Amino acid sequence: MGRYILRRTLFAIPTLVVISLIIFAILDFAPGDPTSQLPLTIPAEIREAIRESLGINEPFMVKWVKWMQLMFINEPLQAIDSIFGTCIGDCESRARIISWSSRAPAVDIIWQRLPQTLWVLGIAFILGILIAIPVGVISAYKQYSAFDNIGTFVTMVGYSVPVFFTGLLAIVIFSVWLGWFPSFYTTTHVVDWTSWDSVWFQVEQMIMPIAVLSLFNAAALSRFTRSSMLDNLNKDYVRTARSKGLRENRVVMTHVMRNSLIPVITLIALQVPGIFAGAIITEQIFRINGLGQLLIVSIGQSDVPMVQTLTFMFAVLIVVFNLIADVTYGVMDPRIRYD
Amino acid sequence: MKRTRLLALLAVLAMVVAACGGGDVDGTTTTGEGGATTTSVDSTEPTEPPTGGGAGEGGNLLLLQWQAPSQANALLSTGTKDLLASSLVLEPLAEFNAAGEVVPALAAEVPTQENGGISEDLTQITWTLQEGIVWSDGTPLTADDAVFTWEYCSDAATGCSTNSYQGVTSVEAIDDLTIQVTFENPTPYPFVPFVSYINPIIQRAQFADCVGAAAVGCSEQNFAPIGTGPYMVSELRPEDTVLYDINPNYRGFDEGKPFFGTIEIKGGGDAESAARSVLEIGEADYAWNLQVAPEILGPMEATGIGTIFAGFNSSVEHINLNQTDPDGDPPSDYQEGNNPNPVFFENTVLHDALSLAINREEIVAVGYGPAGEPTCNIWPVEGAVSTNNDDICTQDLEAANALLDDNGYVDTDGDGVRETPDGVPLEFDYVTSTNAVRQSEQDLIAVYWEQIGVATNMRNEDASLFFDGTAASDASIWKFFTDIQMYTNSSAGPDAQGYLQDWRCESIPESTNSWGGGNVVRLCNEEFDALHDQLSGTALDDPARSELVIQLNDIIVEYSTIPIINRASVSAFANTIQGQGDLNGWDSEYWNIEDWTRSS
Amino acid sequence: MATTQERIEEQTGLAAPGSGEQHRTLRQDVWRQFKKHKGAVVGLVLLALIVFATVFGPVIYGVDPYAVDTSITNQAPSAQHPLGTDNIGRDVLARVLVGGRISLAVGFAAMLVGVFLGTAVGIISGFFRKLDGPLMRITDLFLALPILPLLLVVIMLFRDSLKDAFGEELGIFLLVVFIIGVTSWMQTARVVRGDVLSIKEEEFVLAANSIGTRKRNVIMRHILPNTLSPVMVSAALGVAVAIITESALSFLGLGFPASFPTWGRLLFDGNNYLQLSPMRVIAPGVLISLTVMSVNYIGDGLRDALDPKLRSK
Repeated sequence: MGRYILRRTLFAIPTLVVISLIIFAILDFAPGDPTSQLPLTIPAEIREAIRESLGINEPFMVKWVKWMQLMFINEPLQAIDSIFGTCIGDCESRARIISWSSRAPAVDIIWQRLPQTLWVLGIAFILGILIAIPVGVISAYKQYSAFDNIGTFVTMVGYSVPVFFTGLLAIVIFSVWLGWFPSFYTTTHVVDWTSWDSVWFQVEQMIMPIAVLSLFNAAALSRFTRSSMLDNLNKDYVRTARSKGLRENRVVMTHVMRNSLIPVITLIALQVPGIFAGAIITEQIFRINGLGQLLIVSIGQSDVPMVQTLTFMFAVLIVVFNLIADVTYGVMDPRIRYD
Repeated sequence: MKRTRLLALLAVLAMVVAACGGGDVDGTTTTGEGGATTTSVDSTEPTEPPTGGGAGEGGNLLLLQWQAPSQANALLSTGTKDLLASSLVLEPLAEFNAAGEVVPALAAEVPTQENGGISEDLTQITWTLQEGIVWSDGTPLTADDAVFTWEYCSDAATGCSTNSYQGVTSVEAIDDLTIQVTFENPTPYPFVPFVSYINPIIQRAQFADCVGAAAVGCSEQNFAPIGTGPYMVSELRPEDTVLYDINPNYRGFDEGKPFFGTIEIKGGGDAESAARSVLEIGEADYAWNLQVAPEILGPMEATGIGTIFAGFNSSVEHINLNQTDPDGDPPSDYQEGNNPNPVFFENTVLHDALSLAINREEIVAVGYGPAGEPTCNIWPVEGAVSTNNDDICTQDLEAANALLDDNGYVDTDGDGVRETPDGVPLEFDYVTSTNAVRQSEQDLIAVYWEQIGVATNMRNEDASLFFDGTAASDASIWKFFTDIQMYTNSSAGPDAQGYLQDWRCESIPESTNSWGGGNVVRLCNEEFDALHDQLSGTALDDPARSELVIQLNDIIVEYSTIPIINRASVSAFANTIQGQGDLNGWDSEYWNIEDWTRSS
Repeated sequence: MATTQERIEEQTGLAAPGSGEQHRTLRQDVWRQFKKHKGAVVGLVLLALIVFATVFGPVIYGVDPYAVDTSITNQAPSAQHPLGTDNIGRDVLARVLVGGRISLAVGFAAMLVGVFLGTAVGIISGFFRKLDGPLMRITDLFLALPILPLLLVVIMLFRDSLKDAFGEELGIFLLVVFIIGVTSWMQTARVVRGDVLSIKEEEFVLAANSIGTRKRNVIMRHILPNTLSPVMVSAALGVAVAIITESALSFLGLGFPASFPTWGRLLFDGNNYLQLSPMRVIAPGVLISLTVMSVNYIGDGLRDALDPKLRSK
């Protein structure tokens, strides 16, 4: 097991390097001018000077190597310094990846936005899991019953109706007509856990996006849980357990669920990066200024360093969670031996 | 049970990352940026309003800028959103009011030739600062800060996004309160450097280490510049929110200005949701740049919670008729006039017919509502508006068809499309940027022109490519590789001289100058250049000035350009906000924010 | 324990010679099991209706979806315009019907690309040991790419060059189909590979090899037909994913341009008019949902029907 983890981790690094090259290449060749949003009265020389000052005109390989150095060496050092309060090397004037729009370090801006995305999407994800697993288990156990049919229908609906459609309707109904919930998300609100008002404010602004997202997550997961349970309920060992006289409760909860949840947990781990992709659409609709919104705005402004850094971070998340999924699978399923 | 433990672990992990992920909530947003001097305020809750004549007792003001600011230094701005964020903190010597007149801001008065502020030969302007103005950190504002601002922008490596200092040979501090600006050539309209929210003054002490290539690393300074304005930045989150606190050192503080103690500029979403927040839900006090279809905006305003304000300036949505041949070799290259467009070159007849076919009122009704007015002039500003083009301004299909019939533009092959007397069919590529209103306009205009026998191939390009000033995008307006283009142009200020410069022969973008030049339509008219030279030497108070502007305008719209709509900036205010006056289309919409109050 | 004969029957659908049993084809079996799944049958009917409506609807309905008429903007549903008109007077129903054509075409085409790629990679990877390692690493690489961000950027990048090369309609269509297909083959590849690995060990493959069947024929005649089950399920779900992805892209303004009324584009355009003309949003939204739901139900039914364990009951 240890060797497997080590091997996969080591393999992840060249994977990330290749991915960074692909991302970098695509973005570098993308047309788009960061000065295109300036008023047309700004003459060409000034625009060119601005572009020069941002470093656009250097050759591709030079830019990539520089970015690699910043991304793989400088930024991690910066992170270590700010978390542990140390000062490694030239901590005062270390070069960093700079966003073209705001001329500030890209990683800082991303880090600042992480809570927004995680609050909403993280809770929606967990809520989705908490709903999906019981629903899936019961649906499978009572296959073709009323619960199963209704459950399947509801999850089908939740899975098929696009998130942006439900989101739009939710805003119109709950924010505009009923006025129950705010129509945008205030990122600067600091939750004071001792004040009920403060907590309620945060809850209020999160309810709609969480509800919409968790419905979608729950739908996908519960279908998968159900089919996984169904696979196992028909196995021989279940018959054996029953004929041994074990209580039904124990048969299902201890034996069947345990085995069914293995692929489900793997799927959960694999879906985590997906929540960041889902962020992109949801944040647009609910006006949550998180990572997804940052990506869209940066693409629109041709802010290449920001887009490169964000996309690369998504890739890192995906690789990390793939690894976690594989390791979890190995841990949970004693039949798998990685040697 | 293993999986429960793992689940719990995942959940805890997510919570932990969520709780401690994210930048510092107090102070500036950079981490470990080094020892640059920081003077930003480090509290986010509104401080108790300091004693003064009631300044700051108005509570919080919530402003929605759906295009969120990226940073707060106007000199490095990437768009109007940054200029607005900066204008609450930084101030220029003088600014424009809603009518386009120059009014003093930091200066004691507006220099003129009478009061000796402008030299006889029009090459020098001398500004005198008001006495006793201090920066928000308590140090006095001096003329030296203005000199520094000029040095900052003169260094090309800084990447200053304004060309206001072109033509300025020197800026000197005669004494602590007197600034002398010298121009290379006689400049009858000198109110460009240090005027309006595009050219504020920054503090030498704060930005001293940020000139040139170092400008990029100065995010603390760029996010929270020290200014003389009514507010100070307390926190700036790029593309998201900016929080401001009242500036107790503001010169109007003792008179109870500004009224609001804190300001929040919130970004994100789009124009419609911002409009909805102010007009329908009543969540916010103000929303900027509401490019929203009139049939949506109208019902929103009717709920009675807010009001729409429109601020007109020189923005004109117009159609360019390419004076060069896009099918030439190389395409659309001026080549000293050896590549004229076979159809549009100096063709007044076709130009007038096309203009007569357009129903501008309908376009306004469908796409603009309060945000637009029909116009036939590229310079629509009161005081120098031409009336010579009004005859082709209202739709008259009969007259248009007659005009074409009488001049040999007939449809010889019966396909519904006329041909020129030389047999070239009137079928054109018509391009604009991707935008719902623009596409509606295109659809309408295509139908109008169809009715006079002109066929169009409508296309739209993504805005970032359409307005891409590098040589990379073939779709850019400067390359103009099509027959017809449509977009909005506007001047930097209320004076036409600098703006009209963009139609001179020497401003034509070509492959030889990397398509750098504002004369997109490739107009080259000797008379125009001569008149423009004359304008550059005519003093401000000379009535001949507006006459010249009218003549220049008429040459532009004679055959090369069809102006359609004079566009206004549209914003919404909650009805409880008072004191803002007319919406300022020439300067920052927050230009008089110290006068805003809220009725109870 | 099923005999080899029975297994051959089951998996190849042919009656074993000399068995004397009535000829029961695989197809009949599958269809019978499929019919038992009520949801799947409803889904099939619904999908057929939608396809019929979008293919023949515009012809039957006859109204021009592109006709601009500013005198009748933003009208509520009426006899002349059953779903009302949009902000420049175009008929909403006509646009929804025509839009369906493009959305469905994109869905099916993208699915075909993805399934083809995935199956090819899966089979090659499972069958040829030497290629397994590198192909699986490439699959991992694609799985690790953040799809949506790259999708957004690539579309912005290549939109214009494809427009120039193939003309606006075909260019964008090819781009979107290619992008969605190329980013959705990985799951299919993994599943097919798993299946191929286990089928390779079956006795009939051993038999085929021992009589000297060429590798190509082993793949085409024996392996491929037996992997059809997960492939078909993948295909069904692939259509759903493709349609949703295309709508999402259009909704973000990055899919088909304004002149193409795909369902996602209609949602994007109608988004701001939700309160004024709700039908502009509800019609395409409901249609996307119904189509995706039908396809998902069909996929479910197929999965049940093609599962030999369920079928043999």
